[in-house]
Amino acid sequence: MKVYRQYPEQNGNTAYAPTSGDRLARTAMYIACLSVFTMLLSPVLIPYIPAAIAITMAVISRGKSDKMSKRARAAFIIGLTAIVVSTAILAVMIVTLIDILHDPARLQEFNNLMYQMYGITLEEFLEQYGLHTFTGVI
Amino acid sequence: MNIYKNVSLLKADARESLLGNLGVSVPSVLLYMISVISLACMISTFQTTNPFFSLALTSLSFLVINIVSGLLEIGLDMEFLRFQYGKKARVGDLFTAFRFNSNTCVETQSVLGLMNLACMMPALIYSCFFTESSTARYIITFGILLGLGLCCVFFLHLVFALVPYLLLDFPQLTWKQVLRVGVKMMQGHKARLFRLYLSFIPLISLGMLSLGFANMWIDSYIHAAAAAFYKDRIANTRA
Repeated sequence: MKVYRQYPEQNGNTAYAPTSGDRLARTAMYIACLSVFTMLLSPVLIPYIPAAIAITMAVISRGKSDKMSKRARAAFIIGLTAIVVSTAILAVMIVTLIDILHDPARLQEFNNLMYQMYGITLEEFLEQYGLHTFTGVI
Repeated sequence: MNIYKNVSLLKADARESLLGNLGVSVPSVLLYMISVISLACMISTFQTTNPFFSLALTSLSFLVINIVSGLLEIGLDMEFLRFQYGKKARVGDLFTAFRFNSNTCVETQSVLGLMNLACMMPALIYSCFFTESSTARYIITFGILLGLGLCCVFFLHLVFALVPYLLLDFPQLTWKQVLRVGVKMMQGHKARLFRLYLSFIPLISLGMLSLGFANMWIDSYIHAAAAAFYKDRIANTRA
């Protein structure tokens, strides 16, 4: 019998009853883990959603106490790490793309690779959005 | 001597009241956000060839939207106020102002809506009468007028912040009395409420980063903090 899963009024035992804050901290922890998982799948924008929700839940789970519970603190740290890592990956991707666009040899190499993978070159892809390489737009 | 709680104590009260109640507050905030956003989308649809007609229609829709969203906000504030006093609430309580004390609520929200409209009027007039919307000068001028209007609306929100709670707590008061008492109760407390709102900037930035998804939890927290502010203010008011 899992006594710790029951409420105090059900078993008369208050020592192991999880409070609303504990339950919220546990949910925050799961969502923070989800943010790490989404970060591995797609580092662009998507991890921000569960990470922000996890951080907010972790903050709220504190209630009136001075410090967060261990789970809430872990959710907060994992969520924050997911945001920082996602931002870093996004920044590296943008810088690399700009570098490629300004280096004709690397651009040609990248065009060939992209054509093999998607059947369209990077220049053609950018032109669809009205952007041109070497014209100062990018 | 009155002892008011500081920002961190008010936020602690807000967090405590939300524990176990997020299952109600988050769907309520979501429903409120969907209603307000879908109503707000209607403003941009009035673009006729006659600028006067456009202005009249836009102003009328702005006022109606302000009144309806204000009524919904009263319901939302009621839920958070109930949480603050340790009571339960339902998602359906969002529509309380449509059922309970409706006349006073509509009258009060109409006056507040007219004040908001007056603040936004320069931006509305500019958008209806000056149509060369692609020029940089138009965008900058419109941005400045809109920014000033929003600042005035925020100031009005600070002045009348306690009005929705007073409508719920004192249904016997008329709209004039509610507004008068609301303004009086906020005298000397606007800076405190402003500091409370300012303390949410990191979480609001986080909400923006999540494309607004986290706002359901963040808005719950902000509304709970505002309810805690009212509870603290009313507890220190002499009868």
